[in-house]
Amino acid sequence: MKNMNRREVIELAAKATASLVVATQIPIAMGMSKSPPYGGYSGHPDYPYLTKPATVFDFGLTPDQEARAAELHKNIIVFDGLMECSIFPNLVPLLKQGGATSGNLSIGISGISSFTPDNVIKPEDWWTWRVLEADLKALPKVVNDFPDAVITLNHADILAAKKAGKVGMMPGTQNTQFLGRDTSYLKKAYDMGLRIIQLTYNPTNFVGSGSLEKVDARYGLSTLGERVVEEMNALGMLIDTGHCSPETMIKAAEVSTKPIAISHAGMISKVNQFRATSDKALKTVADKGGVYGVISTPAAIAGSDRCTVNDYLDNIEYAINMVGVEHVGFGSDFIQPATFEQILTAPAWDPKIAASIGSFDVWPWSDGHVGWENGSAYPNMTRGLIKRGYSDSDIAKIMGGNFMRVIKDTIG
Amino acid sequence: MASRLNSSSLMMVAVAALLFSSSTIAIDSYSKVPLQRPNGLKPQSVYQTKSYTFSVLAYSTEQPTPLNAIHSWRISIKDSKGSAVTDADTVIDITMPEHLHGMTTIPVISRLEQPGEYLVEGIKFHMPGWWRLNLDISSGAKRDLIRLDVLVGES
Repeated sequence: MKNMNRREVIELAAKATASLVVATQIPIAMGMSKSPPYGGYSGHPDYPYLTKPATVFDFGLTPDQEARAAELHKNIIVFDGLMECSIFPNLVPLLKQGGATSGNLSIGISGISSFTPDNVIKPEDWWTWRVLEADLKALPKVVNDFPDAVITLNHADILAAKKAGKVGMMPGTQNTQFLGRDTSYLKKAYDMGLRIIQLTYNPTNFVGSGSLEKVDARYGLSTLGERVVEEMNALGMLIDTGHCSPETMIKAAEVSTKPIAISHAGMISKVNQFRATSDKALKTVADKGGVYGVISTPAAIAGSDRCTVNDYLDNIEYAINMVGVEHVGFGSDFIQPATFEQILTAPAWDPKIAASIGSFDVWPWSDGHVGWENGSAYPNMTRGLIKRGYSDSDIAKIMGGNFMRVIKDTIG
Repeated sequence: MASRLNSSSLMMVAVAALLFSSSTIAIDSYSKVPLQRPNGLKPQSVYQTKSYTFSVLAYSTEQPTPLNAIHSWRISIKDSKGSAVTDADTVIDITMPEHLHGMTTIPVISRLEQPGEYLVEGIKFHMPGWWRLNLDISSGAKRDLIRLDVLVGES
């Protein structure tokens, strides 16, 4: 047997595990009426919340408070700043159970039409035009396979989804890598349905500096980046800075003529880790009318692999106390059926970065978030906010109203 | 490391341990961070806490809680009405939040004959200081995370 390097060992191990994973998913696949157009998924073999509803967290509400929460949650718009990054069979049923109206569906990463163990797109190809274009082409067919799902391309579509009792999906992507230096790709993507673009992922790109960039090299936005912001403003797209460095968040908010979003991030002053926004960036984005989606990742909001929805609410309140209830929402960042192959080949993406980005003893990370295990958990936030004394109108803003305002101001 | 009273989990953990050189995985940039020690932390013979879902009482079977020696803990779990929880599926994750590491052993939990009583074997606090016992407890549709902050080897 030849000597294998670490990458080859990891890939071999991942393939071996994938075969086990597929075996465990056969009953789910057999239970479906037809093969899904996205080709199935490998999934985490031991994650019950791919099919099971999230924990109904006990906040100690009175029966009257529970009734108020149920009625309120039924009537409000629930918008998740980063709803999910992949497709799996129970995605829409779980979201519907959670009362989701719409959310940012992150595409262009792993290929929503090829999410299988044998055909995973390597991290180095994430957010290339090839992958993003394929996802944008596939999305209508994928969404059509879910009777209760609909693509929402603007504010009116989201309201229509609410009226029809459907789960809306607003196409978004988490990097501008797909455009290289050619901003004409923004129009191409817009015409195919893309509405939300995050300027950078963790690493710095041609447009701006990412959250993993070393502090003294964070330049904010490049000249190209400023043009991207201007063209997104003109097209009617939502500028997202969730994974950007705080410097890029600030610069994007300053350059943009419309409000921007931090779709999903932690707060450095609350839990000091680098996938987070600074107080200054948060205040700048809020001052420009923007919205901040607090991320649900346990490490980002509690500093450990395990937390509860009460920790999540602590972070929501912390943000509200800093910038006001008009500018805070939530961005779950669920990546529930991510495959072992994707996870374990990620270090090949950039070994130096991979070495610095931490690790997870709990995967998917939502397994460690009691009361926020999947999209069916949204009522827990409404219930928890009631427990903490928030008014119905403020809860409506936090649960989706603030994102809706920014969507109307940007996308239309 | 976490342990769960669940055969499929144990099988997958075993497979993963055989396949991979590392027990941790990395994909994104959400790092655990050192946490601040809670105010007023002091050694106790019995640790007790409650949420709206469960109340937990836990203690080391050896007193005082030994440093650098493998020992066991008894845990008693009750529901919000004070009834013993006899079907708890508990994941135990023991860490040093100030140092971002866990234990060098893998504790295993088993159910005792007395209703709602459980035994955790294989605990070894290998450093003095603040240890956090995270008990991720599921019982039927109920689930909650109970945190016990334990001071070992310090007065």
